[in-house]
Amino acid sequence: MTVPPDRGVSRRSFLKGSAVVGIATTGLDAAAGAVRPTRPASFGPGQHEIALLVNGSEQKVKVETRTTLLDALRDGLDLTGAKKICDRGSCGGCTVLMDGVAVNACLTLAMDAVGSKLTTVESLTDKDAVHPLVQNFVQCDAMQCGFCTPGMVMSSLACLQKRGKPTVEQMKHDLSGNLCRCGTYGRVMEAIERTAQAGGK
Amino acid sequence: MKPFTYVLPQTLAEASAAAKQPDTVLKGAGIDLIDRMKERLQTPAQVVNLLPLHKEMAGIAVAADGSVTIGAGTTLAMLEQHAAFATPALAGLRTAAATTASPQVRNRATVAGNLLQFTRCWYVRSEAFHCLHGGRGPTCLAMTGENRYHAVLGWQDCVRVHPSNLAPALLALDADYTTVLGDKRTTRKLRDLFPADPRAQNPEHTLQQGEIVTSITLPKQPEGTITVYGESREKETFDWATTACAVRLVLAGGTITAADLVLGAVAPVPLPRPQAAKLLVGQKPSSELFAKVAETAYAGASPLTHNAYKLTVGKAVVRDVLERASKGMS
Amino acid sequence: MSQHPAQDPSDGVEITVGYKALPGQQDRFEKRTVEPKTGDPLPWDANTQFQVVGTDVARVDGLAKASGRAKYAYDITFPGMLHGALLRAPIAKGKLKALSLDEASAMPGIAAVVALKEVGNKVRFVGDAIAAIAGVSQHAVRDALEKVRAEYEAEEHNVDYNVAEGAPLLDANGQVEDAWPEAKEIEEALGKAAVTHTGTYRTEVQTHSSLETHGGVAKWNGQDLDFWMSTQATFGVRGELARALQGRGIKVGTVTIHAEFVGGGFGSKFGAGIEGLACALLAHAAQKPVKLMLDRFEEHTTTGNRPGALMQARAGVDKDGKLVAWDWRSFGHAGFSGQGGSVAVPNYYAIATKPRREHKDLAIDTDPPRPMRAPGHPQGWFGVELFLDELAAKAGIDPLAFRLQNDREQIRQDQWRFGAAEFGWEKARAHQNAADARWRRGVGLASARWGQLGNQGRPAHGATCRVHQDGSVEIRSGSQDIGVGLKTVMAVLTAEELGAPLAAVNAIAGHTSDPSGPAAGGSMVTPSLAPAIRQAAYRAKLQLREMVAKHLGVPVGDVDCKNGKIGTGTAQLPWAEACKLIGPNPIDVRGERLANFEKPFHATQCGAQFAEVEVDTWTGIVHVTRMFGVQDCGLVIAKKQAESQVLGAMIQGVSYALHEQRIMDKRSGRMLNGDFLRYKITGPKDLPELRCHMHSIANGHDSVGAAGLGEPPSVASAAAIANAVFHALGAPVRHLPITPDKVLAALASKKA
Repeated sequence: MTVPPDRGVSRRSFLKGSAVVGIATTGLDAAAGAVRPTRPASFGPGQHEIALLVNGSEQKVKVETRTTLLDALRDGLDLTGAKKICDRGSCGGCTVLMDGVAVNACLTLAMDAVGSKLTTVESLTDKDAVHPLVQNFVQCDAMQCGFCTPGMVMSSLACLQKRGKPTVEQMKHDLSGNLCRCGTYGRVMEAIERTAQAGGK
Repeated sequence: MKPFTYVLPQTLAEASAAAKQPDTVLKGAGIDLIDRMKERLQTPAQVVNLLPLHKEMAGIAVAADGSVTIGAGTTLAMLEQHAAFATPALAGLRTAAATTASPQVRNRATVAGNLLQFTRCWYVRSEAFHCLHGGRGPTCLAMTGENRYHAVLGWQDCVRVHPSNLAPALLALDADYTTVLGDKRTTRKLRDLFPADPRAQNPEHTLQQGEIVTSITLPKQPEGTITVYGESREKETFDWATTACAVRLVLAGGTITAADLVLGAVAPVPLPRPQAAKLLVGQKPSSELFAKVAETAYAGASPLTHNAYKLTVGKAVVRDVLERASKGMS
Repeated sequence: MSQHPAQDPSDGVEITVGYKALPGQQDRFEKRTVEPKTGDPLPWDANTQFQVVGTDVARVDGLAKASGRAKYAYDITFPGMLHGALLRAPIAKGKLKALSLDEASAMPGIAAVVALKEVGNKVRFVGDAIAAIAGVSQHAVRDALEKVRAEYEAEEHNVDYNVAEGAPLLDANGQVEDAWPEAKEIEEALGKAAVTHTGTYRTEVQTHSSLETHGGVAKWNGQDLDFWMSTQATFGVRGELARALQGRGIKVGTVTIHAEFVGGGFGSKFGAGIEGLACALLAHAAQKPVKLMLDRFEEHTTTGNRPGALMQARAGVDKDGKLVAWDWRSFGHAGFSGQGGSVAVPNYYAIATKPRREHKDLAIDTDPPRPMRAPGHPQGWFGVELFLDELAAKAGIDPLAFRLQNDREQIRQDQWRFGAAEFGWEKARAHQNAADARWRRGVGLASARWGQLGNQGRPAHGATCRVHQDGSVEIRSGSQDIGVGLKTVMAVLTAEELGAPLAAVNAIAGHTSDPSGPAAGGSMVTPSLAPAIRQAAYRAKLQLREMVAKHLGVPVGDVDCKNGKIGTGTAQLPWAEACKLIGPNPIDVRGERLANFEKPFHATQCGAQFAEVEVDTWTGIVHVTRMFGVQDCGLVIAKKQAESQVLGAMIQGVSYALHEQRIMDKRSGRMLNGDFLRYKITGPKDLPELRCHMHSIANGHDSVGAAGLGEPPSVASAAAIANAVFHALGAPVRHLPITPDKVLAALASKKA
């Protein structure tokens, strides 16, 4: 059976992540795993520290096993670009990229994200540079209240990275996990199109 | 979610052993499980995470004999994008994957998770209600309550519907599934994954505690096979099907030589309709024939107080899917 | 017109009001003499040449939002902040019989527990708040909620307004069966009419579904409270909270509300609500900041809704298609309060006899309605406009011709004609679907109206303008921008009046420490606030002009501020240089909203929308394929943001027409689809091709002449779509949302 490259959590990257978990952890029975390798490692149920690879740097954050990636980002790392709107994977407000693909951070356990490369909306803007897609969201007025906007930006980014120059149908398909109550979909697609035309991903 | 211990197995055997412990559940991406855990409908003491077993569990392989094996941990996005499903013979599966939920869900949701997900019945999925499902209450609340999205066929004491898109498409392709339980590996017909008697008290699937689905295998499809999956939904964007249908036709010289037809979203389990499929065999495609097949597919239906519309809609979807299949439009 | 005030404003100044011809129509200009209020600049009118107003500008807080860096109430965090949540009643009606919070407060990580009801208090709906808990994490609080011991005495409840007290009898087809109350004049007019018609229409409960839920972060400093709240009424909630806290014996110093970014409101966020009070109480009890945000189910079930309506009309036309009789009654889907279910109907269709309009609210045991984007209008317009199309069809008249015949508003007459041409009405309407066609196409239209153009406020609304020596400008209002673009409007108006570069202007809104402004309701904020903002900038300009005149040695009357330059034709300073004259203390002035002018060009906003649908007659699924809207919006200040609001309203209209409905379990009184999977909101794949035309009108209403766009474009969309479905099917679907089951039933009834 083949494993496609760059998809999901490969075993190796996960184990690397687990090692980080192990070092930073207190009061869990992971040690049992080290002594008797036939027993799997286990964590929790209490609080412990994990390391997440967010926007290119490793960040330590305290979580419980039941903490979602969304809560870890928002409450633990103050990365509040990803929004909690439905908390059930139905609105896309919490969209982040995990190993390059868009996922709902609210339906992902923080533990499951250990070892994965995470990209949040904050990474697209820093003091010196604003990603062309973000600029085009502003230029096209692809927002009203703005609460869905970070999620829309991340799904749009995933669309552009996957398709280069997406058609309108492809944009709709790729945005179909994101809800906007103000009704900005058309303008979001304009922003994607403008970015694609300029060759920006 | 209630607190739980998170277990990271390194082998399938480890995972299966861990999952045999009491109050333990297996988790792939967790799309359905985390949702239910947030509702506190499921409050396991231990969650065994299968994601580390990706290497053994995920991916798509085409064998020399033409059969296709899909790892249980393969994501729906991979099904949607993989070249193996670009052929007319398997295109129905690809459509079923592509119309499931949202891109974000498909990027993580696994094939096994999709097949094993719980019903979306709004009574079953709320901690506020105590219905017959799983023995939480004395009666099926949907049967006499709000049931516009519920079953019209094959129900007994519980009118939930099975929500999987993949299941009808895979059943139409006569798929097998392979499991591991401890050190025992078993392969069975996919229809055996679902209870033959889908009563409220029976689990939604037939797996034993600790049994792990590892892969799905599709047999080689004969020349001239086309599969089509179609569904009705109230909105195009991220909605659940109100009815679904997958068909597999083998066409030779303009005649249908073999057929399978499976309904989804209308019964507590994905529902093969062999009587309807049989009408197609040996026939040339025609609108009249398809209308008759659609009627037969829904023969014996017992709609509830608010969902008789599903019969009209469901038959339309059967006709539509057959029309498309006969025209080679996957 | 000069930008400078008349020597004696009481003489009055002549301004031009009205509008330039819509393509293919005529100019509609009129002269008015108005008396500019003392302290105000001369009013802008139809002849004003603008530099910034009406151009395409980027939303001033666009980058903050698109970068994810904007901090909404939900995003505010403080070190040591606690999380709060509410215990909600599981029964729809009854009493709280027992309540014990001891076990919950002893749970690990719990810092504060507050009872919100006392034993013996009534429970009014599923979700009525009982108690609140704050703790170190959301998990800890959720675990503790399960340890609250609450017992209830349930009473018989009803959440179905069909069987509510006072509900009319319905026949098997859902038509109101009760006889009309006697009305001799109407009966006579109906008797003489060439064609008469009657029909019953209904809509379901829609929830606001703001993406940011209600709630916020409360932080006490001694007796002073700062509250970051997701609200559309900063000053309203300030007062409400202060009163409620004092009512609980808490000594309150200052209460400052912060709502810099708000994730939608749509009418549901005028109050601090029980969640706001609970958050403040928990923070007070714990002496730590507390964040309390509702979850999605609470948002759907406890923060108001657009009420459902049951409406019946009967009317008649003469042989020319003129309305000669009109009778109307409606029943509103109120919650436990028994109020707020009202239905609005158009008042501009000329009817020969005095029309009757009656309404009754029906109480049920649910969360009561709250205003929602054009309260009462989308439901009433759906009922009336579909009824009129049915009547017109019976009389053999095209819907457009019928509107032109009966609509007495000149502005909309122009809009009907222009819109029809732009949409391709005639050709689309003539399209014949083959008798056996699976896919049937249809087009429909509907009117819109909104009757508010802003006011002075009492006490008057204000704004602060500060110009600093570094050239930066602050324009401040304590009113809030819930996504409509208020901050952009503030910046544009300020830049226009000051002649300052737009980039130099910082618009700050949402803090009650700044001048008071209106709640974001009734499309009132922009027209109510714009003149105060303009006046503030104008007063700052007067000071700057004096400094520049003195510096350049020119008469102050000759100094103009335009395009980033201040001075006369021969001597001028660039903006930045001019501001260096200011010194360390900024120019700091307050603008005030003065009274409206008398006799504006028109007192209401007009609009018209057109929709095309494609219906799958096999499955009953409706797709809206394209829509066009023409919308009067007064002076267009920020064009792109104004268009965004109109297009967004049309998408909400699609959602309301086809998808949205609260589904209740009658036995438990609990909402079944309190999420975003089964409560269905139009998504990207359901998006029609949308276009709008901003019909800019100099309304002569005040010194700016702006109009709000929250409600006006929300009125017509669902009605136009319902009419298009009627056209496509040849049978009306008289019940929103137009779901497949209803389409199939309409088709079946047509066959039968």
